[in-house]
Amino acid sequence: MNDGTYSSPSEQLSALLDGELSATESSPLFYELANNPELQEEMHQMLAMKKLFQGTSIIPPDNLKHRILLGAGLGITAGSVIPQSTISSFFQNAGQFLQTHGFYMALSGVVTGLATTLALNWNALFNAPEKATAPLIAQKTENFQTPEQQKPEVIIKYIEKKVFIPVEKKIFVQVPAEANIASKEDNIPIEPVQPAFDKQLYLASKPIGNKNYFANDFANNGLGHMILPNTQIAPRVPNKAFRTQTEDKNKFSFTLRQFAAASIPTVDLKPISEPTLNNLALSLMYFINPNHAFGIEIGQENIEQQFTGMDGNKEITWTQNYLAFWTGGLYQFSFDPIENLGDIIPFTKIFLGGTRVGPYAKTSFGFRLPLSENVAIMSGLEYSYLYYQFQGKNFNTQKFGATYGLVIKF
Amino acid sequence: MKKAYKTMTDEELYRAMADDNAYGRHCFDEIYLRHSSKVYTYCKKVLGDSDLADDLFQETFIKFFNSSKSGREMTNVGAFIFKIARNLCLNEKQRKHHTFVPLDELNMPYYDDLSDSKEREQFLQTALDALPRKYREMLILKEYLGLTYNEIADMLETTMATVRIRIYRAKTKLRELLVPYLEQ
Repeated sequence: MNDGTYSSPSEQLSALLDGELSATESSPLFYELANNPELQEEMHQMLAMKKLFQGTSIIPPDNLKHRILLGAGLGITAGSVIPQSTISSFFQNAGQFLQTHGFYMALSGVVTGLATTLALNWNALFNAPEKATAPLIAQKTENFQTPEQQKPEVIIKYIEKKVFIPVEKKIFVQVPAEANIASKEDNIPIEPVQPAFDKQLYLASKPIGNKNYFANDFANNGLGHMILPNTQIAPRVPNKAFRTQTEDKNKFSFTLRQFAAASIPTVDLKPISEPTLNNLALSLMYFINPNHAFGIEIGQENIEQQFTGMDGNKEITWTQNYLAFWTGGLYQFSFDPIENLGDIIPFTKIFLGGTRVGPYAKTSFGFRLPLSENVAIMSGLEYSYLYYQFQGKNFNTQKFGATYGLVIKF
Repeated sequence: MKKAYKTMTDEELYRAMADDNAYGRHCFDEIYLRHSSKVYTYCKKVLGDSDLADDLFQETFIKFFNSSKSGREMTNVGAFIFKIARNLCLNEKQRKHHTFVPLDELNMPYYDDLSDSKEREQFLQTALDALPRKYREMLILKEYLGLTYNEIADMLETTMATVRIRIYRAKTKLRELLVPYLEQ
């Protein structure tokens, strides 16, 4: 709106093209335009001139912002206005990163994880009996006590692994990989501590959540391997559902990532089923702000397990490669983008959830590289911890590995 | 819980900038993202000297950042940044006694056509430099930065009528220079 006093139709036209003329003021001008060829010509020229200005806004170069930040004391070397090299900027950013709360949170997570692992394995690590002296090579045996009429050729593997061996000497008997399970006998008689075998309970519980694992399989799978007599396996305690809720729906992201990891313990067994979705995880995150995000994640992977228990009056060690489907809640802390490294965003994540056999936790540290406003790729290192019980005893599997994937923000 | 700075107003960001932490830095980044292009364009167009414009642009944002520590209340952050930039540019002009070439003495460079954006930019800059400062600045604020007459009047502490008339005169003078090209 204007004060309405124009010295000429030409001045009024200028205001019209600048979007400063009201509808009331425009009407007489349109009438004038329709009847004045000179004014029409002027309008065309003014429009053409206006077009010359369009798209000429200038973006300041990145080094100017860097100089501003340094000059404002937001950089390490405040006061300096000399653009820095990529390497020195990297070390400056790394220095700043070490001073952030996020770094200490990540460090606390790692220390807590290590302390928990140490505490859970304290007895096995420091109070274990003398370690076995058996060779670490596999060899055949002729005198193995196979049950009943079957006498298959089995491989006996001596394993020196004091963490998981609470008695002095054990012999692991490994059936072929396709069976997905191995068992072990030793010749030290121990009083039975478990109730008698309850077939219904046994079958219903599907120990360790492995649907491929049935006692009858050993007798009837055509592989001719041993039967586990009177085996009592405690039912698994289902993991409680883990959920997170978000209050708002502002910034979300989908992440599809793949991972590969080495396992402790390692069992030399291939999984029976190898689905396409193995070692994949999908997460939905809500960003409270660019630093903090919560979400949920689901995934699937093989988890190698080794655990001991009583089989009648004998102690047996089981190993298996369990196909785990896991889900749980996720918290992610994203650090400030590192401008001199292509605006990559370091992050650390903590996942707490569960599988059918026990709680499952993951922590990771990595970075996202934005490719556009909505798409980024991510990569990082990951540590996983699965806790489970068998016949009242605690066991765990830990995995260390790498992960990479695609992030879609919306 | 701290608010996501993408959704904050300029004034909220300005207040949060006073925090000496990463959040304050993020808030400054957000304000920089919103206003830097316009302020930089202003400095470039008003000064015409690339290096000098860079220096004054840098100084503008450093002064702006430092002002957030004073705890002052801010009602229009964009206008405040422009005011800093404008004062710096005017001081610099007065200090260096920039020479002004009258329009009738100006030798405009000749271009076959202005389809190339770089040539068009250079041509426009030459034409703008030839305008009296009081016209040039208003035209820059209007055409490059898209400010309304009212915003320009507030920023330059003048009336809307003055803004309207000066912009019209600036356009008229510029049109005289550009007529051969406008008809292409």
